[in-house]
Amino acid sequence: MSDDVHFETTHDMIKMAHRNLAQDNWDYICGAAESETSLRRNRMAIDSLALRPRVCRDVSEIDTSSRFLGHKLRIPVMLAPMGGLQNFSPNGGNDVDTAAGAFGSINFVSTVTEPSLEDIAANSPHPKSFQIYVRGDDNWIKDLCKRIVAAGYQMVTLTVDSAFYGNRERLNPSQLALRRVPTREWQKKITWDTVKMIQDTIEGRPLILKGIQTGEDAALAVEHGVNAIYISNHGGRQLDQVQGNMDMLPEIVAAVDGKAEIVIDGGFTRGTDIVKAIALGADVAAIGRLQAWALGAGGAPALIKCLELLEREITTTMGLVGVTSIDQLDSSYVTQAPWVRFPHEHSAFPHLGGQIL
Amino acid sequence: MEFLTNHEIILNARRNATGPVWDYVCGGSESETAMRRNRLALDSIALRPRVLCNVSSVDPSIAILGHKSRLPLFFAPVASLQIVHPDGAKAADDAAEEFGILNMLSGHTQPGYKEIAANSPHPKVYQIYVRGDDNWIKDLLLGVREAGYTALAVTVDAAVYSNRERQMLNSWEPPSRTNSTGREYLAGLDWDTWDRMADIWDGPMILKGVSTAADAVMAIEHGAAAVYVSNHGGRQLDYDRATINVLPRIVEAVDGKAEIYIDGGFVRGTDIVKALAMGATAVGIGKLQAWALGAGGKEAMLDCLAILENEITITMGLLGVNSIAELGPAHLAKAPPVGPAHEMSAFPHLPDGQIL
Repeated sequence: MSDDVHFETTHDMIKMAHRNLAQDNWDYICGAAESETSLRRNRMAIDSLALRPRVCRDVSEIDTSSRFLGHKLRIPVMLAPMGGLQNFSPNGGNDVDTAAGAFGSINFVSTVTEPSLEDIAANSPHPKSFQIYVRGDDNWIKDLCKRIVAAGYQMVTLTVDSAFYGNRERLNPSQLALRRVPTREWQKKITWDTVKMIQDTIEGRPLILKGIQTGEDAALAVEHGVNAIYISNHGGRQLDQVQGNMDMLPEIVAAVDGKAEIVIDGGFTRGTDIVKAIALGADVAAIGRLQAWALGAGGAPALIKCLELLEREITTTMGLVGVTSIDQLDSSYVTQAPWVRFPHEHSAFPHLGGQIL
Repeated sequence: MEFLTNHEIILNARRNATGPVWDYVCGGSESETAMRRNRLALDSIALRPRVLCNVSSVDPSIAILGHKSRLPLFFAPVASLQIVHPDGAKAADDAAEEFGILNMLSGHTQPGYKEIAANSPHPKVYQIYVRGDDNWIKDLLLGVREAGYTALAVTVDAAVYSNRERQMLNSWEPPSRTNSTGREYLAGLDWDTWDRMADIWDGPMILKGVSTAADAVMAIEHGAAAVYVSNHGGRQLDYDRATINVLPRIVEAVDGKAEIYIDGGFVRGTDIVKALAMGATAVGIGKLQAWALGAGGKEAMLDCLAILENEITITMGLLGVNSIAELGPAHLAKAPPVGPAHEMSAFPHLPDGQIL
């Protein structure tokens, strides 16, 4: 346990983050695009699933560990790529990397976070993925891929849901202007040829496509030899009015048909959320906002504590549904059920005064 | 630009409006169920984005009745715009001219059709409320044609004036009620009236206020150039279905033989893209138009159009299409609404999440 962290529940962690973070950073972390319907659908889809517990099974030994692309994970949770981590935590991407290494997770290092990809690669030896935003022509992409390989990243992720920057209406105009850089135009031009070019440049490392939201594109990704499909609507921060990620998961699991691994993110803040995703066919879930709230609450030690709390929730959930290992989870443990409150980014935490902070 | 979000436009419109005018703009009829159903239905559709499509040349423009429109939308006819802002329909016409969209001038708004025709050269539509006998109709239509309007929209969902209870609670009525006569002629409208009007008008006619496929088919039989799916923003028949929910049947019934317009709760680029993906030609903007006018006249209306253009462009790009023609039903899916539907439910950052 992390001794210098002063919270015992994620509720308290969120409150600490809210106290510590400047309002504009808080809005950046919590907010989403336009009507924030995509964000809320993510939570609504998770909240509309119930668990079906089985009883009288020996659950005295529970193993929460899992694997992603051959690498061991202590729990089936990874740390989603996030831009601007340096605004939430003193050492930015290095704090996330330190926590991932110490806990036994995999982190995705965003193109738009600090410090540099080489610095974060050198921070800790555990496996990690670099996440590419395209900000230049083909030579720019190839040069970046060479740096990623040289720095020792074991996996490469290309984000494909960001041809335009979503209208995040909580942000003030100057914040938005900072994020609308001219080189973002390159992201609009990427195609499946770009995917091929990256595959040819990363010297056999697995490629993950992040931002897939349809069975059609998942099937195309499999055809193109992509190693993992990362289901994401960018936490509801890009295209507004899409489906909740958990509602899309079955369509994508069917299209992938076991030929690639599946990651999912979007509103995952509880152990039960993670267990539901695994039961419905995802291999791993990733946390974004929860990661940022942890960093805001207390940097790397708080993020380690946050992962420990998730581990405890996952362990409890597995034991109570009657499984002792992740691979025993399947769709028989999940059923549809009505949601109990209108969804939002904090709706899994009813003791925050009932409010959106 | 003064306004960067429609949140700000709504807040400013609310600050500038007196109570009865605000209620006139925002309200619906009786239980306001039809109005809320419009939003509920839009909020129950999800978008399905495709990736890696090279969207470096997104073009949201279309043609409406052969006229180029910078966006797949137009200003819907709104009565009594002059009580929302002193410039009234002139501000809407100026904004339409400068931005490059069509506007439909309500027969119940000020300034009147002659002033608006002289105000700017772009193509525009006159929307008629029939409030007199055949001679009255003939005089009006010849005047409108002489003034140069490109098409005539005939409103057919207003045979009787509905119970708009916000107005009744305020003991207030808009000028269209207090200043005009001949309401009984609206009740007497039938297809013969339409045919007689078509003979006089001798140009493109739009049937506005269609809620069923059966009436869409009759519109085609009677030579309509466009079918305008509308429940009058939920301001006429309460408990009507949401317009976006009746759209698919109407698209099927029209079968490409006329253009299809729709309005009713459209306040976001995503809303508009959904209707286009279901087969509508263009979307009418009513309440949002009035909110922008109230927020700051022509300039705020231009800001509002720029916001919608930005939203539509981003939505198209993130869906993976470069042109409106590429949009189709494969871009849509059913999804649950995330909260109670009302006229402002697409704007979650209004103070305390309220209906203003």
